[in-house]
Amino acid sequence: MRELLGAGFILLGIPFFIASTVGLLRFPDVYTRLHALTKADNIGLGLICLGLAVQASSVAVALKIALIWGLILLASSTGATLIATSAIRHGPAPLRRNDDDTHAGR
Amino acid sequence: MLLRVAFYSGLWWVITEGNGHVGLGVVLALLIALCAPLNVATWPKQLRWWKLPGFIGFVLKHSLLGALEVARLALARRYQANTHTQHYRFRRLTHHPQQLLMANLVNLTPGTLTLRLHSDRLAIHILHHHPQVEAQLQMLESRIAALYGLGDEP
Repeated sequence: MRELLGAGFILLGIPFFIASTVGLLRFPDVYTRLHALTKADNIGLGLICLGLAVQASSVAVALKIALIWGLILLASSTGATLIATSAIRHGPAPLRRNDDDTHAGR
Repeated sequence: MLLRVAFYSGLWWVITEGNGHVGLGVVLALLIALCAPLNVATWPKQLRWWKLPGFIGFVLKHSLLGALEVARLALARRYQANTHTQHYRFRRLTHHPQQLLMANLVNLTPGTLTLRLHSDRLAIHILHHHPQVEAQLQMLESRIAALYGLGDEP
């Protein structure tokens, strides 16, 4: 039963990773791509971690997996802000609604 | 102090998957508990620990909504996002650690990304602007304020 439940969570996590990767390829600038990385990826990883935690051999192992996810969440969120801050200082300004990006959505 | 040693010992137990040397874990926990407060304000006194589970639930729920929004936009036939940048002025969070926590959590909530943290406001990038964004940010700030005991939850 636990194996099945774990596999279910892992399978649920995969579409989020796929959506995140597609977003990374389709979104038009660094700022929108960071949205894809910080949100969809983290939930995908969270579901995979949950699936692995359910299948873990002990509570300590399950908590360790949860701790790893928490630390990745923190690092990913902090990293996104640092990249965005650096990009806004040295890179192009964020695209606005009316800006025409010919590569977006392809 | 006892709580800190118990927390760090628990962390040791988790990291070693329950197989580590207990004595070494307690000694390390004691050392960290004694040394950490000298340089790092890791244990804010005003933090309402009993509100933490509800707060984590709130963040997870919003993270899931954020992921679903990104997935919807990424997988849409044609990318049509109403991207926008705006400033959010802090109303209740006055200390840097609280503002930093909000800046981090903004990245996990639906459609928002912190571009820059100023002393009194956040520069925010919005993936798909809608009228509820401001209310969503205010709700997040209220939750953080409540966690730090700065006021009642909305």
